[in-house]
Amino acid sequence: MKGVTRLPLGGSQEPAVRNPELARMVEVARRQAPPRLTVDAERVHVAWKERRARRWRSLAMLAAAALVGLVGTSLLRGLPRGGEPDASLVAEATVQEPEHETSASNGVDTTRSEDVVAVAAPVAEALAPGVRVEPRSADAAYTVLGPWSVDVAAGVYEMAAPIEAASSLHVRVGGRTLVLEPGGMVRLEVGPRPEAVLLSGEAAWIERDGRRTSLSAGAATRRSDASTLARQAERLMAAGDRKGAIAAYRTLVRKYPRSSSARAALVDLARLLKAAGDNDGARCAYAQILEQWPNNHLRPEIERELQRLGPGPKCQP
Amino acid sequence: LRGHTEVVSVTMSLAVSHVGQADARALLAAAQRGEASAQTALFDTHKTRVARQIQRMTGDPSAVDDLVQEVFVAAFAALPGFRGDAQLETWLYTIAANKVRNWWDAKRRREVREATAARQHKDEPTTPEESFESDEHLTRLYDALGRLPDKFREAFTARAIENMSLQEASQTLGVPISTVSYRTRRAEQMLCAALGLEEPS
Repeated sequence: MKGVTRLPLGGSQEPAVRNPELARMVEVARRQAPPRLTVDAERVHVAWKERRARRWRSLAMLAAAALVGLVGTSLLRGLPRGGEPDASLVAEATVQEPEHETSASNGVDTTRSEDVVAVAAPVAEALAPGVRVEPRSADAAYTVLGPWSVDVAAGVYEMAAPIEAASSLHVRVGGRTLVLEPGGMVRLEVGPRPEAVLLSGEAAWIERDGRRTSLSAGAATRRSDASTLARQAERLMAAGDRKGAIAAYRTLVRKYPRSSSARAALVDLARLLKAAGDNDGARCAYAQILEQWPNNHLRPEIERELQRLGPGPKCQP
Repeated sequence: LRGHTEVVSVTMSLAVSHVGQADARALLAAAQRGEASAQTALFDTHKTRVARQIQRMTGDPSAVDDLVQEVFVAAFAALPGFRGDAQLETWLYTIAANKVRNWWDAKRRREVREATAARQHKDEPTTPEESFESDEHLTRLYDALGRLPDKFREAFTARAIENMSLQEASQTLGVPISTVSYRTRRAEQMLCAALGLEEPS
């Protein structure tokens, strides 16, 4: 095949492909004609609205079930006031499913019922900075109830609360709540029997009756070792939380300076610091790599970066 | 590098020249509120890049349409939680990569059910004609890629097929450069073994 003289692939750094035959196959894949899309924005928008409506329906059902339980409990206890069910309470318990009509003039959802969330928490636009809730399966979807509160549907998620968080993260799963303390990270599978695996930090299930069950981490996940910190930093980086990732990498390098993770951490730390405009910090991180691992295979690249960054103040040990 | 950078720079220049940064933020906020026009604008800006990524990750043009739709529906659903401190392109790349993972899982399950037919297909003789050779190359490559663990396939796709630099791949995949490097090399070894090629030293 013609035109396969561009080996090695992968630019001026290390080659991505070294076997010439495989490189030829890769070249064919790269030259594939661009896909012809038939899906359009309207189809996507309609599908998104359907998904949102489904989500609201399940939330409404949950809220209704919770309220029915509440009213039932009150009646069983002979409450309220004089043994008669409180009509206003019953009225409030009626949860209407929103229709989600969209105003043609401004496109804003004008019919979203507040009833659904009135029983749970105030609506918030976004989660608090640093809080991560990441769907890990196709069916996963969540609703932000407040900066520190989300409701999750069936699916797989990974979630984390930042170390410096002012509050714990409350995750509503059916009638239960998973409380994730600052610095904690869990993998949550919501199905017929929701299951949470503690990856780091602390978390606990709070049952409907207030019973609290702390999540116990397995032996492999309890320790806050170098690889756990590296994984946490990578996740923060992937989520775009540069500040959080820098903090995690700094902790790793400080606590485990001789670990194998520390070298990779320093490379990423330097790059993140440079991207954040902290050139002195980046220079010191690069210098530390060369000092600790003088035979690093990334040495030429690091030296080029150091040259670009230029001289600066003395680095703190 | 060239292909990826071109697409990113075109997207970036489009965003900057047509709407400006402030308008881009306003557009994002409007899309977060669920405004159809804003979602349309975001879709039109990013659809080509996402479609291209999906084709390069799956090797199957017929899968692109459905996956693009899935990616944007998931993105619009999750948009209220998007804080904007990550690049939207990177964020969409991650969502698309997750969708493609699911697609490979489903494909593998399907192939297990249709194992006999799949084996017969693989036993077909190759032809020297170039177009057929290209198809054959693609089929063989993606068959082998589909058998790799997700992380290795994604690293190899980003580095070799998307032609990203180590640094770009590291940023996009959210793993250290050294990890990208290791996974790409390991993926190449596994691919060579699966394709009956000489393994690189």
